[in-house]
Amino acid sequence: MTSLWWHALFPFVLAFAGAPLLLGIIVKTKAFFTGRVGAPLLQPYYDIVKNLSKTSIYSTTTSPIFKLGIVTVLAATCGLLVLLPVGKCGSLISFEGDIILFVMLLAIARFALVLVALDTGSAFEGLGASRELFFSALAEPIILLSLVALCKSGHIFSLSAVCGIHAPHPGGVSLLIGAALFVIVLVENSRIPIDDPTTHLELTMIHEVLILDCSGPDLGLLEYAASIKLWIFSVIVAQVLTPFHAASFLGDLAITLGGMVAVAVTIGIVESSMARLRLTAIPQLLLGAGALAIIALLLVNGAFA
Amino acid sequence: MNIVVVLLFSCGIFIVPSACALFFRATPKIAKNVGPVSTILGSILGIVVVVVALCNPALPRTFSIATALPLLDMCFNLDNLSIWFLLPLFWLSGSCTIYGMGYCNQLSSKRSVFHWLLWNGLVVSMVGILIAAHALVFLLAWELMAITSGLLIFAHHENQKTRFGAWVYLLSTHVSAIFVLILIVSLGNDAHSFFFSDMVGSPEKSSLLFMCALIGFGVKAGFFPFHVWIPKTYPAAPTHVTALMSGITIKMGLFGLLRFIPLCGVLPEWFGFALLCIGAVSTLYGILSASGQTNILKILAFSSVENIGIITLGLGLGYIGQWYGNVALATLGYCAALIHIVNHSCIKSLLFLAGGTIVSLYKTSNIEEMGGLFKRCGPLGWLFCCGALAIIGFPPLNGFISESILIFATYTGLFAHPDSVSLSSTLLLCIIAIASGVAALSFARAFGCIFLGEPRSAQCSQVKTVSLPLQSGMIVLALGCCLLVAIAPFSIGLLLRVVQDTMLWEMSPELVATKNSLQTFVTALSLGCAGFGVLFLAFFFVRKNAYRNKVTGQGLTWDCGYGTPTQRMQYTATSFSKEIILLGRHLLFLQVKKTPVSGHFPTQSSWHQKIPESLFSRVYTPLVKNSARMLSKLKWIQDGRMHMYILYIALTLVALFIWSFA
Repeated sequence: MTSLWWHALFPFVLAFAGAPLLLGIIVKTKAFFTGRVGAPLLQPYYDIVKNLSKTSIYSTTTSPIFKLGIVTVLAATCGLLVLLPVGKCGSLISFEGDIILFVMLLAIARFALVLVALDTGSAFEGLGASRELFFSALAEPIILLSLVALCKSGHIFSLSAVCGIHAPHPGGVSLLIGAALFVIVLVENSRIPIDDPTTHLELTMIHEVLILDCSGPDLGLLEYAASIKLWIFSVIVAQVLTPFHAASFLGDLAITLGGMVAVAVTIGIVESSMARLRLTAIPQLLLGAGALAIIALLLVNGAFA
Repeated sequence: MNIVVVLLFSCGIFIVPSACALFFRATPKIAKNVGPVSTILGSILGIVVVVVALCNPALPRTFSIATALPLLDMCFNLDNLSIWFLLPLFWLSGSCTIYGMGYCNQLSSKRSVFHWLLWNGLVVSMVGILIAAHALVFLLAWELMAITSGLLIFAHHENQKTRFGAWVYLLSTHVSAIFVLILIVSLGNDAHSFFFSDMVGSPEKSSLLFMCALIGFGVKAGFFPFHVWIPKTYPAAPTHVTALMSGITIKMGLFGLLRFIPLCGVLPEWFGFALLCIGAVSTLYGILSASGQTNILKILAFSSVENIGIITLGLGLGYIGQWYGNVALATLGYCAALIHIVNHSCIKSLLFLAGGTIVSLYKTSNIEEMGGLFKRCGPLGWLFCCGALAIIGFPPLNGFISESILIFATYTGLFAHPDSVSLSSTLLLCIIAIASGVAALSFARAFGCIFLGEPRSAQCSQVKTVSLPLQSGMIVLALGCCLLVAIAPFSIGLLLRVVQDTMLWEMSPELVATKNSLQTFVTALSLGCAGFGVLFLAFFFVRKNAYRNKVTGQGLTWDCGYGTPTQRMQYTATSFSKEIILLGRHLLFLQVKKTPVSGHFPTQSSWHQKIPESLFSRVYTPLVKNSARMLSKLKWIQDGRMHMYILYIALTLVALFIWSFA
């Protein structure tokens, strides 16, 4: 069945509606492992709504960069969503080479958030910004290499290679890339073992410290953007690791959604079963993931054939 | 109408009035402004001429003036490669001149008249290099460029650092000239003609020719390991001179490579891989060094090294593609290099102008002492931000287009045969991605430390605003950055013609296919940039809506309950990049002096890091010193007595006379 353009609207709208739910699932999983009831599944929604209904206090240090940076984060995240293909639904916009735009939009969202943080002149936020950019400089090659490996295996230079509809990826490649990208999910979304989203000490935060001086609707919008980013990465990992497709596009969407719930639960399990890594160990973890991506690319190249 | 004649006429507009200004001693106000006005007029005419030439390919494009000198025919040819470089040259010379007018107000009238004469000489010499069809004309223009730019750097020769910077520049530019001379003489000797159209290198000499081209043009372009003059010279020169040099003068080295590669005949295979290695090392080394510097001008200088590296990667990929007959890879590689040359000229000039303005506002170039400039000088902040986003390669600005094409070329390289090509493409992909991440870090650091937060020293709080000519020069360049995204899809046709003409390729179906896919790709990227702009506007209103009917408050930045935060508690530039510098310490030969934190109640701790320019101090300085010592033993030849020199001439003539009979 060929996909029609409006099929792509389903996952797009679903992402806006359902993104905070993934955070809820992670929190519930963690609660289950610690034997608690935990916050309700919809708690992230309540938080965002609560923040949107409040007003903000701005630091006297900040400049217009602070507000426009937040807008940039939102625009770039939405741009990612426009490019994101979901199974047979496809993506709203897809062209040859869109993975470069995708990677760059990811980077610009991060850059804008860092400028927002630096604009407050806080030492904590400077520290967080430095770490964020350091880890992302190491993570960016992994994202690019993984996506390129998938493209090469699918013989199409586009993000739609991620779904593996045109040519299913070999199992080994899927596994390696899936593992590398799972590490990236943890890095990009600031989860344990890279960052602890629930920590209370500014010195140990990365993502949370960047938005330390944001309040009210700004905070709500940034949290919302962060949850959409988590959604985007879990869509990618879920699709890489579930190479089978249903006959109808809705069935296909359901498979992907199932995969995403599995990714969220896995993140929850990882978070409940291990502690945050030392900062000096994170580059090693990232280099490991990079090695996986390179091996996958060599595998696609036929190096071990 | 011969288009080259009109172009030479515009060169006349550059030179003649500013030379005449030397005699307007009585009216210093007019004399001061003749030079810059003629530059701006000449640049506008130049752009018009080039655009007319583009629209009417039928117009004659060659022109020669017979001279009485043997071997030297003043022969010019305006081909597509020259056009590709002429456009940014005129755009930059115009906008840097606008900036320079503001800058030269502080110079005395006499100095400023000389300054503009040299400046126009520099622009004209670059035009000469670009349209020369005769190797000796090329060489003359090359020398003129070296001398005029060297003298321009000397503008503030009272300062010891300026003299040193200019001296390093003169030395390196003459090393470059020596190798270019060897290259040209060797090629001309084999062809018995100095016309580019007659030159074909012989296969047995190709390695020698390539080494000469690589060193001769590489020193000018400033890629690793010949970059050493860049961080010494750029901070020493006046701001707009630095901007023009970093923007277009160093690109003349790359132009030289592009001009001479096809002339050198059958090409050795290793040349492409050598370019790739040079490009990769320059990219990584340049950007890592940039992220560790605290001098804003050195950050920009090292970022130039990185970008020249990126261009070299494109050239290398193109060259490898050509060698293995992979048309797609060759085309994409060369296209990436050519587009990045234009984009980088615009961006880097903008950044250097902004950087120079920042230094003049703060009276220091150390970013550790800056901060909070955005609130005091918003327009400068936006201009620097525009340059920073463009140079990292973020949409919606022009750096994004060229970096994307390079990644596209690398992706094509993954499919290429033999395995060495696809393996190096894999590595390149890693390097490009890491470099782009580190570039984001270094420019977030520079922008954050200069413009955001609070002023870090008392001097910063009294910063004044930037005058109009300074601003408008930068605005023209920033507009160029945006415009280049919009016109990128329309320039693909020209770009392909440039590549095809330069490399002397026949039209083939593969070339057409590559052109079409590149056209679609670039159009999509441009539209993607526009789409990002639309999304930005949309979310601007979404956010505005979220604040409707709400009163926002103001307060202190969160200080962890401390209560009396000071500006000195802000995160410093050195700490900001410490992790990444430590990761690359072996590449940078990092030197660290530290007093570590120890004990339960630590009292003192400190961290001093220095990125030594080891190549400069350990390799080049001893080399220059030793050769100076050895050459000083020949000083007796030049003893300053006229009749000895006449004797030398007579002896040479006699020797030549005997030789012609033998």
